[in-house]
Amino acid sequence: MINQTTEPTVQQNDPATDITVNKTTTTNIPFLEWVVAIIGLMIVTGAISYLVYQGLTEKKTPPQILLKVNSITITGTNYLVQVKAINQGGETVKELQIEGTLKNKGSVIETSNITFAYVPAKSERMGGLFFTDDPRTLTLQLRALGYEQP
Amino acid sequence: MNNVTLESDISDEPESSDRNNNKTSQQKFLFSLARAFGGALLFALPMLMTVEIWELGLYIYPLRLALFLFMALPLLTGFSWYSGFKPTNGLKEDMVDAFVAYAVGFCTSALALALLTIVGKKTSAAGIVAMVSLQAVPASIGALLAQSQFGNYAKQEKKKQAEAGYWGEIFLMIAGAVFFAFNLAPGDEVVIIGYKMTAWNITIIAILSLVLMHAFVYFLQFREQESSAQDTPFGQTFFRFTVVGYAIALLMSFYILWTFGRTDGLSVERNLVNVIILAFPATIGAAVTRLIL
Repeated sequence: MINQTTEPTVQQNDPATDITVNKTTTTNIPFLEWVVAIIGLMIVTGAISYLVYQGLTEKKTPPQILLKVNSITITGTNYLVQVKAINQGGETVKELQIEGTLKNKGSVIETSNITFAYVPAKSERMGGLFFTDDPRTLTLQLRALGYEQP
Repeated sequence: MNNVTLESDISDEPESSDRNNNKTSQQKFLFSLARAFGGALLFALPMLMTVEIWELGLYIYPLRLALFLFMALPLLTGFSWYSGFKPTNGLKEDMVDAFVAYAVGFCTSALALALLTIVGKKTSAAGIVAMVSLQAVPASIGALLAQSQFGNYAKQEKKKQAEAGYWGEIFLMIAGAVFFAFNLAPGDEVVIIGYKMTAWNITIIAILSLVLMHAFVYFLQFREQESSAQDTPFGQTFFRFTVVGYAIALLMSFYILWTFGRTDGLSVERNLVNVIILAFPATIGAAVTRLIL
């Protein structure tokens, strides 16, 4: 019954809607789907071209590890030295071993070490070394020992 | 007029007869999009929470990953044909859906990795692109499997699966093998198992893979065409499906290991051992894809 009352208005629009019918039946893909698909296409081509560019231009320079002391704090009975390892080279290192040595006029007082699981190329990682002696009153030496190629 | 539109609404006809209906087709798409996100999460979350796959993003060869992403597109198109997050007509629509699935997979993977704080401000751009786009592949496969997993299953796609010819079967085997191999190749398990195994163990695994492949092929055939499985001679099924299927599992295992840089620097024997071990689950994947769909 309700349909009958609305019928006249619908009929008036008929010629216009008929045109859209023909248009939509040929594609059958809603507009929104095209939008999402084009986003997908852009992501794929973007990712592929970025990776290809990177693959062609990247220089496999050997890992170059820069070690920096970030902070020294007292934690309970220990002293914590926070160390930042920066890999400036073009290759990722795995199982990077860092040794920190406390020295007093050339003689070794204490050593501690860290193993970083991964330090990717052009990236940095943070870690910490614990000492029982105060590193601020002694000489702290940081050194990268070795790594594994992933 | 309105009655007609109502009917066509219910009967799920592809044609839309006015703006109202056009709106509902948009709505339907939104529903299938939500379903696709669900499928992406269901299939990719275990991988998104696997440490070896994150780490892979840090050292994977960019060119090999680019090739893998490119190869994923025909795979997704095929998946859309046999399953998809909505019923499709024709290749063009399947290709469009493949890109939609990739967009869904990429977003799912990016959001999940950010939410789990695996990817963040400190991750390098290269690391983010590699990690997210790598995980986007299984996620987009999940997006396309959504339809068969969350009901609302179209008879049309079921028919396509039943009618999948020889090459269709081969495609489904490739897809299943890739998905399973992708799942297991990043971990150290394959390599560790390889070190523990003797030549005899390896031989047994290879033979068992072949036997299982044949069993699956036989029973699936039996299930679908009840009489023909008994009629087709053993040799024909064995060579056309079992041997080819196992060869696909081996090849795809090798391809995935190569993509992940896990074949580099290894002797031919070591590589062969790793490929045979990885092909064991890949064989199962290849054989059961039809059941999952």
